[in-house]
Amino acid sequence: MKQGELVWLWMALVILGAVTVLAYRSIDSAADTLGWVEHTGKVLQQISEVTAAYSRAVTARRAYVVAGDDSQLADVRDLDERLGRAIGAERASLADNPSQLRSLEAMSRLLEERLSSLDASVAQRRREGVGVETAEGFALTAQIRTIREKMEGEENRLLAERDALTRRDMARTKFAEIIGTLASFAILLFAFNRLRREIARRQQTEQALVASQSFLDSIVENIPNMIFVKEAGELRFERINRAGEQLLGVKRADLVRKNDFDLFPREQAEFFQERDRETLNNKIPVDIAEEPIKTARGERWLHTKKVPVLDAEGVPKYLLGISEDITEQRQAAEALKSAKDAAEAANHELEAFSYSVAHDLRAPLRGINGYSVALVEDIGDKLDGEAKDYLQRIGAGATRMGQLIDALLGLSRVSRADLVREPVNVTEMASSVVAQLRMSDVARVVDFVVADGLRAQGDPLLLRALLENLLGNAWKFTSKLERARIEVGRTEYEGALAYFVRDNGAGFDMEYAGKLFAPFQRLHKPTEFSGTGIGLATVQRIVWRHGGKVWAEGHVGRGATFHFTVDDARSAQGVDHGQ
Amino acid sequence: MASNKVILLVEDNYDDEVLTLRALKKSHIANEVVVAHDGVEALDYIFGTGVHAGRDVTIQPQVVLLDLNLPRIGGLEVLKRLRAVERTRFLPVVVLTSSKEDEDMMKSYANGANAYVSKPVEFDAFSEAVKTLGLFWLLLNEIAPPPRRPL
Repeated sequence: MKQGELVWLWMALVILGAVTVLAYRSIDSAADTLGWVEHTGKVLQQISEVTAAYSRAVTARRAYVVAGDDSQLADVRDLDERLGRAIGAERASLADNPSQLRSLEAMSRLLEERLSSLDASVAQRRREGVGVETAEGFALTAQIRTIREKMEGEENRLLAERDALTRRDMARTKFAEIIGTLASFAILLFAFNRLRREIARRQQTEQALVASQSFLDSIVENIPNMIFVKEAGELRFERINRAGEQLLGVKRADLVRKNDFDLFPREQAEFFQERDRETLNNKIPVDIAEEPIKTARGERWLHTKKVPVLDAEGVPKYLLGISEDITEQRQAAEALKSAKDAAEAANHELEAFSYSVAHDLRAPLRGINGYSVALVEDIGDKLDGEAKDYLQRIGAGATRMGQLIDALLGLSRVSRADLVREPVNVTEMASSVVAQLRMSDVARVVDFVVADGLRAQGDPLLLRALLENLLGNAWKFTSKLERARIEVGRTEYEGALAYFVRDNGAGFDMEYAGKLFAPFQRLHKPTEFSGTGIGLATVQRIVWRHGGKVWAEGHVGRGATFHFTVDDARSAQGVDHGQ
Repeated sequence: MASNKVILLVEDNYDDEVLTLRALKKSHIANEVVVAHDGVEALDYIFGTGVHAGRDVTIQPQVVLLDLNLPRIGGLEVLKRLRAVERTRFLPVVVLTSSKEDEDMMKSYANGANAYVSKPVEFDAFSEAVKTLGLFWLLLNEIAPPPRRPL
């Protein structure tokens, strides 16, 4: 209970208590005074009784004294005793009132005196035949009357006084009752009002609670992953959401209050509960990347997170579980893995094949070439020009086939080699290739223009092979010019950085641009320009391995430009405009 | 040329054997050439076992020209076994093969080959290579003496 409410309760109790005490005391006091009123009445009656008894006692004696009637004398003794009893009773009643008691005692003495005087008159009559009432006797009677009247007066005064007191007490009681009733009403009204407001407030809170509860419920219900709650003791299911029902193929009514052993094969149930205990004992969430579970729809795979739910004292109360059905992902991953395995196996086969090409195909070529050369050497002077030429062609054919095999192996090496991305200074690399080309034919006049600050993120060995091929082509296809110009630079392509190698050489017909990058495709006759037809295929493969694009533009007799990207966000950042 | 020095040619391909011998002859290298046609024969010759049992193994070839792809015991295995034995640990071995694979080259050097030569298809280039090899290994190179301690 709140402090304020406690104060109110105490106040109400104090008010009601005070009113009760007040009323009780008024009633008590009224009852008291009422007793006294009654007592006074009794005293008054006793006075009458004393008066009556005295009158009888006097009358019996006087009848003899005055009229000689002795009929009543026999009763005198009884009458005197009656008077004595009446006086005794009155004395008892007046024990609390000393002044009245004194009056009574005075009256009692006077009564005795009056009766003694009459007794003397009675004796006189008997003796002398005539009795005399003395004046003294009358005076006593008058005194007795005075005292009696005084006592009666006193008692009547007391009666009036006590009556007034009673009325006052009654009025007080009535007042207390009214006040009490009013206070009770007020407190009742106040309490009722407060109660009503409290009830309204609680109803509101309850409604809000119900609303928020149903909101939470509907969220839990609609989450597309299985959500379940187990109690921490026996790990029985307390709750499960719709996705859980669908996943397990079990209605929640058939699942609640059951544990894993009721629902799943022993081995799985043991695994689940082991993880549950681990979560609850360590009080930390546990992540199970993959776990199999037997459901009505067959075996599924779950990725489950288990979370301990602690009470206010930090004792695990519930286990919350969230499971994602990863069966399809897992199947996809497995399919991917087997595809990868197959690809790796194929790659392995390719490697074995390449090796055998390298080793086994070259050996017979050496034989063909070697023996044809040996024939020319040994019996060349015995052969005519035509036969010698044929032998030389046999040797040259074998040599060319060797070159083609080497080129093909080079291409396959480009495909197989591991790709390492690191910062490459393209400007420096191109310049080094250019220097190599110049050394191969120092007589040629070629203007090389290599842009400054070309940088890329790529495999240095592969990028060098790429530049060697492109610059080598440019060098080759400008060989018939007196003054060639070969340019290496960068440009922008679809928001990304692209590099280019441009020459003013033989060029090509754009109609055949699609054939440029295919292996062994050549757009020029071997008599014009030598080559294996593998160079651009190698370039394309290197670019593809970097995730980039390569394309060419050209016109017959007016040169060609080869563009390529190594399509990586980091390569764009690698451009240093400051240099 | 010092004709007492033997060359051991380990070669399974007949054409290559003929052409190598021709190239040596053309280069005027008149040394005795012992030809082993697989790894087992090569090891038998060097260690004086099998078909070469009883050979004086204190006389060892001046150079071994070793192909990699051999029947029975491969070239790399031959190389490993030579390097594992004290007496042949420093025997000059030149790997002479068709292979241009980086991996073959790396493995050969890793197992203690003294040189790695890829056989060119063109005979002129091939005979040039053989000539250079002969000059270097038979004339210029001083080989480590075999240990005096008997096995």
